[in-house]
Amino acid sequence: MMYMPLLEVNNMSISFKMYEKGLRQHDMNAISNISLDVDRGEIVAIVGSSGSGKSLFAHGIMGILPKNATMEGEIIFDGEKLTKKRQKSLRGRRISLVPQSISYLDPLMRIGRQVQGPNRDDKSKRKLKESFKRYNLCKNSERLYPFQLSGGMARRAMVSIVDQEDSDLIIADEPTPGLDLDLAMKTLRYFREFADRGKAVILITHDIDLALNVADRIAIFYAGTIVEVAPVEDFHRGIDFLKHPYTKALFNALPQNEFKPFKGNQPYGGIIGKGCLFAPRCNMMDEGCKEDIPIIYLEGKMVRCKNVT
Amino acid sequence: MLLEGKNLSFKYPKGDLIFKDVNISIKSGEIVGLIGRSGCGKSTLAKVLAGYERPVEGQVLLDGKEIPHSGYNPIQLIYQHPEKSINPRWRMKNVLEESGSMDHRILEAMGIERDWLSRYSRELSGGELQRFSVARALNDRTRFIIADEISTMLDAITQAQIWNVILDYGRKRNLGLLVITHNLHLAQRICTRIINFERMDRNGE
Amino acid sequence: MMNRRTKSIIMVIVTISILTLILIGGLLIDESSLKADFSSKNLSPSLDHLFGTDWIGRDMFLRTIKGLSISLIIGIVASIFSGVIAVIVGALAGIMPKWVDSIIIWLIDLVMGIPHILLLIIISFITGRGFKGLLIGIVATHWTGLARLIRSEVLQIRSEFYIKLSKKLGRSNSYILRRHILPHILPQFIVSLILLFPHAILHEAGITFLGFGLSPEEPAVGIILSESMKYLSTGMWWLAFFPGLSLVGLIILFDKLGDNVKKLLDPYSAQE
Repeated sequence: MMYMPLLEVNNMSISFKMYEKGLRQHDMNAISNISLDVDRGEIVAIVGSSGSGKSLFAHGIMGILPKNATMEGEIIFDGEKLTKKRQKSLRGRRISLVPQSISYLDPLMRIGRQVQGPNRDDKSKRKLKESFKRYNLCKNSERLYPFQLSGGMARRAMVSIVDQEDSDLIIADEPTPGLDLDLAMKTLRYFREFADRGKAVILITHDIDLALNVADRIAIFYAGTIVEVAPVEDFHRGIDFLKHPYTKALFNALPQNEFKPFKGNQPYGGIIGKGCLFAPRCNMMDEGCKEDIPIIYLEGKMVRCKNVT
Repeated sequence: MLLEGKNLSFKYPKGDLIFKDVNISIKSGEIVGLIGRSGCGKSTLAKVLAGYERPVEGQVLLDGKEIPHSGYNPIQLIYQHPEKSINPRWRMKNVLEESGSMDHRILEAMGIERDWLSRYSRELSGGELQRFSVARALNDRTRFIIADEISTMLDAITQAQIWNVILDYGRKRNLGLLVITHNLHLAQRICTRIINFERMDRNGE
Repeated sequence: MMNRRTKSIIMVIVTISILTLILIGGLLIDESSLKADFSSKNLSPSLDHLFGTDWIGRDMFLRTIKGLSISLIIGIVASIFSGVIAVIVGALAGIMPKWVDSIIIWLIDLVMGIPHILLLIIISFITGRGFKGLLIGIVATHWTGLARLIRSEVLQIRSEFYIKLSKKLGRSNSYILRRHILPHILPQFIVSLILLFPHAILHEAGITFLGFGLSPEEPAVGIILSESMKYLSTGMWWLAFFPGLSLVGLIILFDKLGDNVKKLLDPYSAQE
């Protein structure tokens, strides 16, 4: 049988209509030619700095891009093409998003109602009870309003909202900002459980350290492209197992490694055309980097760099 | 110079006590790490030390003297959310001018590109903005820097870059640093001393 | 294909041109062109008299334009005065100590608590009706909403971290007011001011219609409408229809102007 992952994204590009100074308008490429697949039972972490297009990628899959955005490419979910219509019907059911901030909870609705959603039958009540138990939320927290919850409880409540539906794909957008290590790890463990129960999880974060703790594979985003997708073991095994120069730089910059900054800045989207976007910062740059960059598939990983062997 | 917090207690009006009888002291040239659980009051302590909030009890002293409420505060706080510490209606150039920090060597070391100066904050990413908030605080008149989770939201490369500039500047000017972070690796890497907020000795350190 | 910003700019230019035309038209129409002409009284609308003529033969189109221009002038003057009061009071409430704020809030609630029309009638009556009385009345009743808005904006921006930080960078209160606070409230102020016009105009027309505002010698739309009431039963529908419609049109114009100016001034909606 052919390998058929739950989610397959092929050559996704997203561009925006933007105003420049005054009245001129132009298209800005925010992400270009992203291909990635995620299967049941695994956590794929998307790691990149702000502006690398990682949230946009998630919004593209969910179908919640702003109006002035256009998306190209193909998304296949569970063997079928994910059209706009299908996105709408699956959103919040088979594909769920855990938002970044606990301020996404409705401040005027009791937690129980929010978690339970519009269904009020016995089955959904039972499910609510189950997941409150699973996430260590006491019974009477059903009756509370969001402002009465502690930060950790609110976060668990958000996770249990996703738990209500039998989602196959869960996308978490920076689920642990500003949490201490203990709390962050607890939150991430919930996502590990989701994956272990046979769901596919996409974890979006800027914090490679955290990603290394739970993910199975890491996709490194840079300036709206994927530069490398590697199994998490490669990061644990050391820098020599990482292939792309940007991934290496990221690894070297960690305080437990070299704590070394890297010259230059991530370019803005909008630079369309051939060539490697990292080339201007790269030590290995040569003439060939201005050409189309092939995607090289090595055992279990993918690298977008022509100097990789 | 010596920055001291003596027997500090704080609560918001109508709120519970956030912390009580905290003593902390930082000498020039020291890099003190402050760690502790989310919500235990570290950020509030930072605000009290930098003069943003008045303690209900206790004092903040600089070389034994109270810090005047007007004029440039030699203790500068850098905040976790740069977008909140920069006026969204200003160009970045004006942001730097507000503190008079236009040292081109610092801007360069920080990786601030020339054309960012004419942009508004919404046109820059969090990492780019945070470099401006840091550059703004690196100023002749600054003696102590309190960094409240300043690199939590940043990628590793930007984090390393910003910290390298701060540490370098701090060494040259003999600044005292208080580093609030959840990242133990970071604290161990840069700090000369690490305090756990929850296990702080409340009667003299 | 025009983008939204161009559309907004064109809309603003068109609206302002129409308003200017009405204003200039009103100034050009003098007593002589509104003389009674009994040879052409009670005419229904035609090409010669677009809005028809009244019971003493005056052209209703000219009367309406004149009426609208009077309403416009009252609206503009009243809005500007209300705006100035609102800025001063609102900013004071936001900057001064708590007790000043409490007094101002109490005053705003007091004025807002009494129905506008009632308060307007009383003030206009006390200050001697006519143009002056009406103006004082409208100004006295219309500053409150805007003052409340500005107060809350000032309070909100004062709690922003970058304002507190400015203080720690050694910046003075007047610097913060000039560089941070005023630029923040200015766009909102302009938009609210424009949206205040239609309010003022409608109240002027209403109060004049009820007979407590302008005197019959000043042919404002309110006067035209109240005079026409007597003749409506004789089938002269055009006497009230066109002036009333024009008044509604004027109000809509201001509303559109406010909307479009908001789109242009608010940098966040510009990128959609």
